[in-house]
Amino acid sequence: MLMLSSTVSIKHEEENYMLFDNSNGNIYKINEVSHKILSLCDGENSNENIILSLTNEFDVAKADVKKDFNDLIKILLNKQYIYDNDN
Amino acid sequence: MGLYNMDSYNNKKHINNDFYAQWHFIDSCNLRCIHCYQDDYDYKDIDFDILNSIFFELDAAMSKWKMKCFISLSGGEPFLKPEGLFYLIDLIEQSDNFKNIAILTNGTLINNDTIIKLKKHKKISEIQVSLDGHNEETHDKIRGAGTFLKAIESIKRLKNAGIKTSIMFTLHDKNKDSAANMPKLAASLNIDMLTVERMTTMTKTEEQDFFIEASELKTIYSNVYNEAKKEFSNKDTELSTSRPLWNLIDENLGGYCPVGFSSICILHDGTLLPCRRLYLPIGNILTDGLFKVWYNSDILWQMRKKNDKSECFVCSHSERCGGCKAISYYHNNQDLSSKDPQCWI
Ligand code: SF4
Ligand code: SF4
Repeated sequence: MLMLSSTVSIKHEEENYMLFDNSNGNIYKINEVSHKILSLCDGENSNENIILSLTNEFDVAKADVKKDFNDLIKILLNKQYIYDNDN
Repeated sequence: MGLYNMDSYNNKKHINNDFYAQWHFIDSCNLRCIHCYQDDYDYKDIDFDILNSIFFELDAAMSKWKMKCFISLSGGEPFLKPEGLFYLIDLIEQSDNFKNIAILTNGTLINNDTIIKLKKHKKISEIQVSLDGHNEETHDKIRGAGTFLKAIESIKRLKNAGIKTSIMFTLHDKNKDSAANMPKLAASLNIDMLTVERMTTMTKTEEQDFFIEASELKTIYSNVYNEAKKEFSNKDTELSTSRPLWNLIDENLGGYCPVGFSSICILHDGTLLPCRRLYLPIGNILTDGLFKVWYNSDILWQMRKKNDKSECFVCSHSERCGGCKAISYYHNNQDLSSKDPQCWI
């Protein structure tokens, strides 16, 4: 299951959503959906669960959510901002 | 995902890229001032590994944020450990991320050798000597016998050597009668900058002993300001008025609290505080790193936000003031966004 790396944190402040790389200081502006995905990457939610929560919360088609989710996860895994704790 | 700039959290209109760090690189002191927040007086040896690690963290943050750091080196008493002080100054001078260095001292340990060493360093922009009275009687009651004359002697030495020198007068109930006399003293010593700043009373006992009520502070600030205008008219001496409440004396003065936006305080062991006057440890630069603390500290986020329920939020002075968060915190039941208790409007 997906989990946020220990060097990364997320923040929602007023209308802003951010991802911090606490090791090199990079700050990324993210959107609300990405923030939600990352907040659910706690090592306990399956990908299916995360997608379900998003579909319920954001009133979008499951197929679209799935695509957004897969795209984002690919980038984040690549950057090692998240990891799969099953591996 | 694009790179995001933290500056958008800065409520100030004029954003620049200056950062201020106050680094208390030792905790030992040779004096025992009655109002001081320092409570550990062990004369420990300098740990150069700690100095290096803290410096590299700060340097990396400045580089990442594209900010230029103005750094104050202090203690305890920084000249008590010149080996640590000059080691740090050398390190800082080598980095383009640091603009200027100020040294905050009680002025009792500066000799001719020190002056020669100070002169060799180009980034030292100011030596700030604490004077807590305009005369021996007031100052020595607070800082100990013989300290006034020593400090004055050091100031003269520094000025004679052409080193920019400023005076820090920490104002409280026990030296308030001296305040309006400070400009005259500063002018007579050809000081570059005089700062008159309120003491932060952190406990009920300190409040009883040192706190000055708002109405009285108004009179003191006005007198200091008028005296400074008179005394400094033909001089290069300036009165520092960039902190909250000076805006009430003249609307062009004052300044919003920089905590959370462009300043941090680092203690000798790496503990990070929002400000030296606000003893709320928010992490440790050695174990957490500066980025983690700066991005995640709830206290810093709280201080970045303007609280629309606060009286300061609706005040027409809020851009240039907002009150001192530290004084408000200790005086108003740990409420950081409450109105500055020494504000007289
Ligand atoms: S109400 Fe607040 S912002 Fe206004 S002058 Fe007083 S302390 Fe400053
Ligand atoms: S808390 Fe007060 S002393 Fe500290 S930086 Fe803010 S205004 Fe200045």
